[in-house]
Amino acid sequence: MKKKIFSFVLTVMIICFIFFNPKITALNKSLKSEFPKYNNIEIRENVLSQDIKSIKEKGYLTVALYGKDRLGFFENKDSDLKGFEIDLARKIANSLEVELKFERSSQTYDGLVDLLILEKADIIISTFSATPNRALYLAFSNPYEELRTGVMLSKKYLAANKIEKNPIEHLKNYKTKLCVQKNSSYSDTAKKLFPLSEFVEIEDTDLAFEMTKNNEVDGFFSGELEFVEQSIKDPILSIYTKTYVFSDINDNFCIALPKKSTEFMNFINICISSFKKTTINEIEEEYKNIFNKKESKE
Amino acid sequence: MIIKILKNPITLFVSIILGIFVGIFFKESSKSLSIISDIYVNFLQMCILPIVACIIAINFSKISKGKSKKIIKKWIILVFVSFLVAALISILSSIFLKKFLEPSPDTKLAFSEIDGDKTVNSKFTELKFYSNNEIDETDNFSLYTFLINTIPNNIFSALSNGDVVGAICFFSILGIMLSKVKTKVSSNLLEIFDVIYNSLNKFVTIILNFSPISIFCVLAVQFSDPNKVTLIKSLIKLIIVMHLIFFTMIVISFIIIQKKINLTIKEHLSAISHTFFISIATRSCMASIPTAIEDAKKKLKLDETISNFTLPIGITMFQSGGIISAILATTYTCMIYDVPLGFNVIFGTILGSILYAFSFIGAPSIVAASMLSGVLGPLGLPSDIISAAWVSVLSISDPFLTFQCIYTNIAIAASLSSKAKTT
Repeated sequence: MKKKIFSFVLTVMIICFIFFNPKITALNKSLKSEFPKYNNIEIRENVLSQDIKSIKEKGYLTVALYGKDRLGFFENKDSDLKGFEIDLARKIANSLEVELKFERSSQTYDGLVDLLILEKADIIISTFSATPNRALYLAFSNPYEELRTGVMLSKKYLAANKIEKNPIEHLKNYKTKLCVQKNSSYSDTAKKLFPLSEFVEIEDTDLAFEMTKNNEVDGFFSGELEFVEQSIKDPILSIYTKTYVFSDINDNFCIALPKKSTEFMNFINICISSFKKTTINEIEEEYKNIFNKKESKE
Repeated sequence: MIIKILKNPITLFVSIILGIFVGIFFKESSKSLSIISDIYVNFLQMCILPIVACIIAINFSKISKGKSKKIIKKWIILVFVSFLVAALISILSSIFLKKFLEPSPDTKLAFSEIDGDKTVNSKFTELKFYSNNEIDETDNFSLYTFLINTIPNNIFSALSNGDVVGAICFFSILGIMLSKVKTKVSSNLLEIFDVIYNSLNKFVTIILNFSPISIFCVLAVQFSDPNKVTLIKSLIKLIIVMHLIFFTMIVISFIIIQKKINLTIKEHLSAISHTFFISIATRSCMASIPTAIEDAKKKLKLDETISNFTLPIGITMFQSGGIISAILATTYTCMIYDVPLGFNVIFGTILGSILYAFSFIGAPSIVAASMLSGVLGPLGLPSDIISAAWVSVLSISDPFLTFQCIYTNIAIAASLSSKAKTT
């Protein structure tokens, strides 16, 4: 009993000492008053690199997007932009604590490069692949999406050449007339893979698909994103064409920045590393839903 | 009494109506009826190979004895005439009904959705570019492959694998050779074949008594399956044209048979009703062979030897329905891919379809549909879409295709028979 009373009194004394001791109270106060100095935004702004600082000063991030809708970025029925690339752009803008703007004046992928060089945009996020030619003028982030490349072949071509399962050796060893998108990464890849083929370089992918469908060319070399997109837009395409995708030849989509933006590049790579990669099925599902709603509205 | 009721054609007709009704309105419970229909069809198919083997051996031994060599020549000519007639009717129908048959945008959409609710991406074929890819070339059906496949390298494996064509080839040779070896043992062996044939035929007759029950079950099961309804709806014009061609062939056969028999039209229709119902219900030429032979011999009173000899081989190997099916599939594919029906295409289609009809032998619909590449491939036409769609087309047209094949062969047998004496 005595022991219990003693320990109770001792506890009360310790509590009183801590709370009513003037020295401890003063130290607490001084700590509290000094702490905000370490969380001062003005101090942090001083260490920001020039590229990031200029975006923050503007208050918005301008992202260059290809003029036409693609599976990575497309308008829904309310004209809002949707897609996995829009989500990524939004994530970067939110991390920078700035607004997000899109620059969609370019109708060609080459034009996107100019937008960045002319400083009309801060970055390009537009199913844009890193190619040696583009790397001369732009810097590229780590890939945020890796999709397969492939070739869509006309079924008449396949039937005429008695190809039922695997057309690769035929494409490698015989002259084939293939469409490629002008100045795209696919154009370089296709020329490397099928050196004997004749290539028809076309700016507009819709036209390339139409030509393949009508058997005006034997096929169209591109990426699975384009094939999925066109197959949703034109469901009967599968009657006239057959699509093969190459699991060992990927098309990596990267964010392009001006050459000088080295610090901003680090920042973007960190954003990409925490960005959940979307599967082609998820991309297709999202696009299909929005595309169907849009069609029914029209 | 029960057997009498079961044998009555009205019972068969009622069971067909009931089967369709139950299949449409009691989908779930109908599926369990498949056990009965499977048992019935299996019993019939169990007897087909030995019946065909025995009947061929017996009749080839008789025919090779001399007087009937002319009949064989005439028979082969008639078979090819029937093939040409079927081909011509099909080609002309396709040309004259082109506008009616032309696939609509909805039909094309239904074709593109043949794979079901798969994602677009999963329909792509994934390949490895940097692995050893072999040049892929399709083996199209040819006369060479047909001849090679007709001669079995091992008769026992051919019998155990249900290779009817191989069995026909072997037992034809055996029948001819048994007639050449003029010993007591050889005639005893032929008698053994005769006994086996008669015993199995009796068993089949007993089984056929229960055909109304099995027809009811088969149809209930078939009509309970609503899959590919959309595709069938969009192909309805094609199915109508196909049935019109079958009907034309059946009418031609009817006239030929009618000229050779001393029966009224009503008696003729009644005589063929059992074969009709069996072929409609089983949708199998092979399973209908015993009934067809019995009806031809006993009811239509066609020449017994000719019926015994030509019907099993003809129904198994000479199926003009396969030609009609292949020609329509080819001309329809031409319409889908905007290929004009020029002379080369028409000639290639007829030739390919006749070869296809041989490759069609005994194959279930799904295999027969996949074999269309043999006709379409040489014409440079894609076959994957039409092959997939043809499974649905055949699922609807199979009953009449089966009956048309059997009835055309009965007409050929009737043409070979001398006119029956008035009874």
